[in-house]
Amino acid sequence: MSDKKKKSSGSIALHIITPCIVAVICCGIAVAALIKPYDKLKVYLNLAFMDELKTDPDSSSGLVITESEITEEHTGETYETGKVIYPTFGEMYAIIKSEKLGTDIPVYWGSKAELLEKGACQANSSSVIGNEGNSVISAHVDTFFADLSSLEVGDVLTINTNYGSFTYTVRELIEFSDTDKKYVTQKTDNRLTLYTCKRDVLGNANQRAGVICDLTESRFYTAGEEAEK
Amino acid sequence: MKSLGRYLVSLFLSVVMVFVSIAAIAALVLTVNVTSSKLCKMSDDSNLPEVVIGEIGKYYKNKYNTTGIPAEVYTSAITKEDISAEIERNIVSGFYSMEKESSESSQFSLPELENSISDFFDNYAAENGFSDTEKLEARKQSEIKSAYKVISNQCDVFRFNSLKEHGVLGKLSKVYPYRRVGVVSLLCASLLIMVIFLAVNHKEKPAMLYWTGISEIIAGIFTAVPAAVFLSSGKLSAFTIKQPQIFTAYTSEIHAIAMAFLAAGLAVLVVGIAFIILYKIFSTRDESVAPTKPLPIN
Repeated sequence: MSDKKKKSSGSIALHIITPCIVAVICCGIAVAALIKPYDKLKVYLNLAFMDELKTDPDSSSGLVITESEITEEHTGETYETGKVIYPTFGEMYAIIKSEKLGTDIPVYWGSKAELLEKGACQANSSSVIGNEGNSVISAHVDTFFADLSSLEVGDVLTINTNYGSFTYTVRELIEFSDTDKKYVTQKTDNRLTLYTCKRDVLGNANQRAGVICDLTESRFYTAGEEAEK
Repeated sequence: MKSLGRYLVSLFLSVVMVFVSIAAIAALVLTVNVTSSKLCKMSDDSNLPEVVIGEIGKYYKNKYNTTGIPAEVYTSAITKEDISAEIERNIVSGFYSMEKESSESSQFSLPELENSISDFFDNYAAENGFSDTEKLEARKQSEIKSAYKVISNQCDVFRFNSLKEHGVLGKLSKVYPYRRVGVVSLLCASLLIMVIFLAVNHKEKPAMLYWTGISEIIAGIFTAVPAAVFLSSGKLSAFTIKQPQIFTAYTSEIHAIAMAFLAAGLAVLVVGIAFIILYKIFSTRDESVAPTKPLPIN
């Protein structure tokens, strides 16, 4: 009888442990298989439910954020040189478009934590898009610049503003430390520098990765002084 | 479960059945809940046409300073029925895109709005002695075209046009037409696994009920618990797009889908428990049948 009891209790234990084993195996497989898709989905979830990423709205920073409607389809004449409209701090003044970057990325003038939650930010010490010099734009790697690392030399980006549309071609992929300023300082050529934090789960968070792009086409909506002459 | 080999094979099949069941639940929930008729009904239930009319009014009130055209010129000429029809047209067109079909719905037409805008410009021209009829007509047509664009954009509550432009609908159109085939295939796969359970455990047939039961219980928990956590977390209120009609449309639909997942998960959990109970009944019955003594051969 005791043998029968032992067998019976062993069988019951097996019946109880088996679902736990199945559940653990299923969890393990799900975690392993979903890491990469979750990484990708997290970008879109962060964009879609971004209110949770926002800083305390009561913090009185005095920042005025202006959302402008950017002209994307200009039907009139365009010019190679033209007039730039200088944005104010906190103004959304441009949109970056590129197949590889996925969504259209709004660009805000000025670098601040609240602006980085809404889009990419352009350092206000850099050149306004369309002006000579280095236009430096950065964004968070887990939201707007999640696909920046997929850009390759030769890829094309377009930046639309309300005063013109500008096409850039990726010339160089870069990596630098956050203390290294050589890529973010002013330059004499017309370039666009995009950068974000370099993803490194086990490493430090001080590395930056990005691209340098050359201006290949300018289409201003209003003629500059030279064109008018 | 007396043989280790049969146990391990059944364990493996059970894991497969969990994923097949979860996939079947997901496919069924999405097939039933993401349809143009459901979305149209949801938009009517959430009073979206009224919200849209309010937003159109706000838009033109803001534009008044630059255009000089009062918002009433537009809002007095559009009705709830017009807006409801346009919302429905946008939804149906979006689903047609996913089905890779061309939309056969009628063109958006608001004769009252056209007359209202036309009358405004005619009255303005008459009051100000404006005589250039060609320029006036061109301005009228431009404003009417713009009004249609603005109203259609406001009525695109699920942003199907944006999704189409960004290639999202194109990607979805690769799987959406095959959703029913997917559901049927997954259900057949579940049945096939049950048959394989029966074959593997042919010496202990009730064990099929046990393995199916635990698979369904785990699949039910894996479906219901995340849905419950999501619904109770209040994450929906953090939806980025705050434009009222889009916020309402998306959060209502996401809420409905999450509720459907919760209900389906609980249903599958109950089915799994039922299988376990049946297993207990049948296995007890097998044990209670006393072994008969073989009759001597004369």
